[in-house]
Amino acid sequence: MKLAFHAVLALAALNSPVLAVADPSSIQRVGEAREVILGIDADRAYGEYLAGDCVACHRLSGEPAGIPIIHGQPVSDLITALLEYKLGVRTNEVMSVRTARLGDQEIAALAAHFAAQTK
Amino acid sequence: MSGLTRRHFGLLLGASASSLALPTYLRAQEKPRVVVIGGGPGGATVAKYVARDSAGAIDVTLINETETFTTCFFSNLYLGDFQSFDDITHDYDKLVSNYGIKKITGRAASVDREAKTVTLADGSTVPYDRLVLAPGIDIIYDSVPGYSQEAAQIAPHAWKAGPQTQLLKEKLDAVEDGQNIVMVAPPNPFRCPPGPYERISMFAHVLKKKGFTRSKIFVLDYKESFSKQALFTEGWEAHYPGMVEWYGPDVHGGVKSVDAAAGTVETDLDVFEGALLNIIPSQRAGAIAVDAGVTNEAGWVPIDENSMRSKVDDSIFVLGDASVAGDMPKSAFSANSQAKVAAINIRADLTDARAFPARYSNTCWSLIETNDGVKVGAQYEPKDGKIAAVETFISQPGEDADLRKATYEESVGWYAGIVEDVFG
Ligand SMILES: Cc1cc2nc3c(=O)[nH]c(=O)nc-3n(C[C@H](O)[C@H](O)[C@H](O)COP(=O)(O)OP(=O)(O)OC[C@H]3O[C@@H](n4cnc5c(N)ncnc54)[C@H](O)[C@@H]3O)c2cc1C
Repeated sequence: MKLAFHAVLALAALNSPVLAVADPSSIQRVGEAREVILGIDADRAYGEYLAGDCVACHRLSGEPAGIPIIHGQPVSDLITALLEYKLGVRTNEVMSVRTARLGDQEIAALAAHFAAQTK
Repeated sequence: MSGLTRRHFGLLLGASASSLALPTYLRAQEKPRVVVIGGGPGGATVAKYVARDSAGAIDVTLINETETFTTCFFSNLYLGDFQSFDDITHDYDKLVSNYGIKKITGRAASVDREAKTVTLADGSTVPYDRLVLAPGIDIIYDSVPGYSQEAAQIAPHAWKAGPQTQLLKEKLDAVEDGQNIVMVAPPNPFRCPPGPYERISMFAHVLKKKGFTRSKIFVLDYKESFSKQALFTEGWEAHYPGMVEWYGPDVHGGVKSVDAAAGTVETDLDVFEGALLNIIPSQRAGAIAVDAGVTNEAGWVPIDENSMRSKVDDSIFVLGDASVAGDMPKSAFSANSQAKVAAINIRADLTDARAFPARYSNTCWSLIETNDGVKVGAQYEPKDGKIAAVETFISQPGEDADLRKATYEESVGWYAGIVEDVFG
């Protein structure tokens, strides 16, 4: 439970609203899925390729104008954010369609890639 | 020679015979060469991704006819005074200095697919192992009766950004209260499906801001319906009541002729008069794709949905507006996304890089009025022999002002992001 709470705070930092009426079972599913994904040996080369979808909007430099900066964030926060969009805890149509078909391997790879990115 | 067996032939020529079978770059122990024609979001992205991710193992040349690139995306926001011309104009300096890309400023005149060379307008040739064609569109001027390249100096299309965009802005700013604007909107398929309607919104925004609400904007469309129609129509009624009149072909009956000098567009229904005519004709892939012999009858380039490789030449990849990209619209976002799929396949062709399954994405934001942004987008995968939409979304009519403002702000963030991704 402590982890889940931490994740919610991290989300606020990533600057996108958590749905006020998020289904508690979705929040729980996010927590469970995150634990599974954290155990995956992430494929960084795959993550770099998949990140192509993200960096059309998420910049690696400058101020987060309208779209949050995601590089250099902790792996766990990135996994949580992707899962929250995928499972509908957070809503943003762009993020919902980008994450809808991401599997655990893809989420692990993306999180590992962005966490390793530094300015 | 005919009596010689393969073995004999090899013996006669010694070591060089086996080296003949090798790709050129291995023969001379040179690096493999990738040549990209077109420095827009498709071409510049693929050049950057191949050069950056191969870390010097591949030689990349980018050919674009101009020194700088003005984006069509956000050019409507320039018309609406939300962006300056400088804001939407970018150079290739970082691609050259950060990734070692060779930039050639000039026009590619022809492609010799046998010899694998590109010949430039100045007669010089550039050899390639893999060629990327990302030339964008060519305007088919005479698809609109009476319209021509000369007429475009009076009645701009501004569907390629640059001097045409500036001319359109000049003419828009000169429209006086009570004078009208007439747009002819193109048939499908064309670059940027919501583009004409975002532009209409920006025309109306500029006029309204000056209090010129007696002016009207007539849209004579070749299509029965258009992208985000419910959203635009709702927005025009809310922000610009009585200013925008849209006519589909079932109402106007067909565009009969454009007279740029007289400022008129004649249809079956009526003769429309405007102080500004914005004529957007039919389009096809840039001429170099036609010259290379990779286009279909309609003038676009069929590609393999798993790689963006031309269906008729394995050594050629085609990106962006020029390609037949299934469900993907012709957008900068699409071109940038396709470039990443092409880049990984090019690297896998020429080095030991791994290719991953193709996946594509697109989002097109449009601005209707200050802080009233809308969006449409999708995720795509290869399916049933084409690039198919697998997840989609679109803004809804009646959304609250905060959401529309956030959507607009997102588009500003996207522009900064994609510019950095393409040119940075
Ligand atoms: C008004 C308007 C608004 C738009 N808004 C958006 C938007 O909000 N979002 C979005 O995603 N898209 C938008 N688009 C669409 C977007 O601009 C295009 O889809 C995109 O530019 C296509 O990229 P491309 O790389 O295929 O071609 P282009 O951008 O056209 O780039 C091709 C380049 O190749 C050069 N070239 C062509 N032939 C040769 C040759 N033989 N030799 C050398 N150089 C050559 C051209 O000069 C050009 O510089 C808009 C378009 C318009 C017109």
